[in-house]
Amino acid sequence: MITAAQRIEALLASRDALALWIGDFDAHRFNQLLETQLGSHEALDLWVRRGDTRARAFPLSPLLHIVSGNTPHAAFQSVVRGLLVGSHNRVKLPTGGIPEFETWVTALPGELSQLIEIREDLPDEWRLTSAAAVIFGGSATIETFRQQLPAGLPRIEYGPKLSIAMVFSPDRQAADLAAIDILAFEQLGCLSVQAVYVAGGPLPTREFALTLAEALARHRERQPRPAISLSDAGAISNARELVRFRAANGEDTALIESPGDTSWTVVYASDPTLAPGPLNGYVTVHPLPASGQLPAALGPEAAHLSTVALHPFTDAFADRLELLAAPRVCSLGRSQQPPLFWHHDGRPPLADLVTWRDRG
Amino acid sequence: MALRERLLDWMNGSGSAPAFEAIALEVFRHQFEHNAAYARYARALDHTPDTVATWLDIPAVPTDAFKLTRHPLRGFPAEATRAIFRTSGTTRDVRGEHAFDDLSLYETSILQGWRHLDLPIPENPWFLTQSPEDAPDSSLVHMFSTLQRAHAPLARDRWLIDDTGRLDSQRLAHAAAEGRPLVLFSTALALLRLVESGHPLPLPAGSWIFETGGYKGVRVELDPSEFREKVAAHFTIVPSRLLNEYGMTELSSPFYAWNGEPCHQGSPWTRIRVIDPDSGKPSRPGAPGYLEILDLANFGSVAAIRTQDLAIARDDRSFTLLGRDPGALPRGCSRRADDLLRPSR
Repeated sequence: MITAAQRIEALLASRDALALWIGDFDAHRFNQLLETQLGSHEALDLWVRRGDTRARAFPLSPLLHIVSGNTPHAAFQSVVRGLLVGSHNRVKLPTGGIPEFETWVTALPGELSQLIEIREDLPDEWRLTSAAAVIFGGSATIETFRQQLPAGLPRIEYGPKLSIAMVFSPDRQAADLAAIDILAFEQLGCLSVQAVYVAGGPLPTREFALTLAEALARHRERQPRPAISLSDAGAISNARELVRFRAANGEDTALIESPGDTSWTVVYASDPTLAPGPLNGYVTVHPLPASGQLPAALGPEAAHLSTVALHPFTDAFADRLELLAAPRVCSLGRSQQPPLFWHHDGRPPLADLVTWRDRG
Repeated sequence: MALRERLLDWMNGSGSAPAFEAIALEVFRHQFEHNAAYARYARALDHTPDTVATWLDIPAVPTDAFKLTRHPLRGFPAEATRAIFRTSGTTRDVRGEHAFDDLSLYETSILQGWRHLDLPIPENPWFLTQSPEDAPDSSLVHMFSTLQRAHAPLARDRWLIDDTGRLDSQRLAHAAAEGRPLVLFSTALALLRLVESGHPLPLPAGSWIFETGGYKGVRVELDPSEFREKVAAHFTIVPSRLLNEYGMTELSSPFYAWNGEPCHQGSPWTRIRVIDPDSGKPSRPGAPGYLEILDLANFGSVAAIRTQDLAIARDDRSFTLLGRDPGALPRGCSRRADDLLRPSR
């Protein structure tokens, strides 16, 4: 059994490959993460003083990770957390795998790679003998695995969620930053921005929708969208036609679309109700409602918020959104790069993965 | 003669069959002139009676537009409404509405379509649905009721699901025990409930099953072929004696395929086209795309409907149904529009 310090040392060996997916790190930052999550960076290896007793953290192990295929981030972040606490990690990948992740595991030092097993199916042994499951995915994925896993198995579920942006300075820079948050990973992740709320009322919002459309077109020109399924293209096409129908019938909405294909779509809608879209480069731009009316104006989908990306990012603007109780507020352009210490969907990244024993 | 009457005559076989193109364009012009919400949409696409020269260019509305009841897709005044069929859904869901001022075309299309496609007369029907009284806004129940009144007028009380949703399989078992071949009309989900009850219910030789509805159920999505095998085994019928109907609240004319047949067939007053969603143009021959249906029996609303299903066109009125994209794996943890979807009938 290797110590947390040894596992961190081994993770540092793949720092360059890993930083792309979890952000930059060093031993000090990992130790800080253990400190903030477990109260001590030694809590996994020693009995540490906790008030009037001594306690030690034990990893939930084996730890089953069910990761969706949208972005490799989920796999990297979840397994690094599992390695930090010392779990044996069983990773169920989607059909087709996640090549970046598998390559990384292969290159890990032996003391870490032996703590990771990868499969694309879910054998009974994994289902029945894991100590906990971390599940990433859409509602169908999560529902499927809820049914497949034993009822008493602790489950840590991430998804489905959606993210939004709020723009207080609707300029070209904001449009470029929003385009990054909209187009990264084709909106398949819960950190993907699906709607942009613009301060200043309907007119600046309409103008920003045009600026954003230009930004999306520029980004797509530099980096074309990978091929999407017929269903995904059809979902975009259906959503566009519905907007066209509403606009034709006098609703205060407008459609700006990539000509000849479905690679990007910007919808202006004066109605502030937040609604998930068909993804793959589809965003709706609304005038920002008054702060006090935000939860009611955005409607029931606000309960599924993951991240709110702000431009510019200031505490004063963030404070205006407190009623939304979003788990994370960040700078526009950074929604898809959460920090190492973030509380994913409001949950503690490491504390969820251990159980405690007390002495004394 | 008025257009509606000419359509009825055609369906009933009492008039000469019109050229489809000509009458389809007449129906489009009629709907453009009388259905304001549709006309505005058609104008936005620059597809008007002055610019549309072939049925292939008649603009189709997405089925979700029927949920926008503030823009009613009907070609008659609200006070003339005689029936409204609604898509299924929970109280939180927005339900689509299809209004009718006259059900004669709808009912004639059901009955004459049945005859055109040479489907067997259902002389001993049983219905695994609520009754027309308990489900007055269900297009499916109205369709079943239409077939019952025409083909088995004495079988008025064969509705096996009560107003609380309780399914009475005992009555069906008693009917089966009489040994007379029967026809079981059902949704796929109601059949699934019976299959999952675990008690096989052998039907008399010569029986067959009519099933409809999506397989996107409240729990897990079913593979259609696996589902039909289970149904055939549960009721001890030959798998090829399962008739699948492709229909929806927003349409008046169904399409049918016996289990094992490669494609669904429609009536002479329907046409289909398959569209590449990325380009908006017709898919290449043999290539999959989104199914659009032109149903001239939808006279009072909109004849051209854009479905949310994938299909491959076989000819002008038949298609191989693919359903939702079979190659699309559920990916990602993003909340998407699909998360709000419910079965549509």
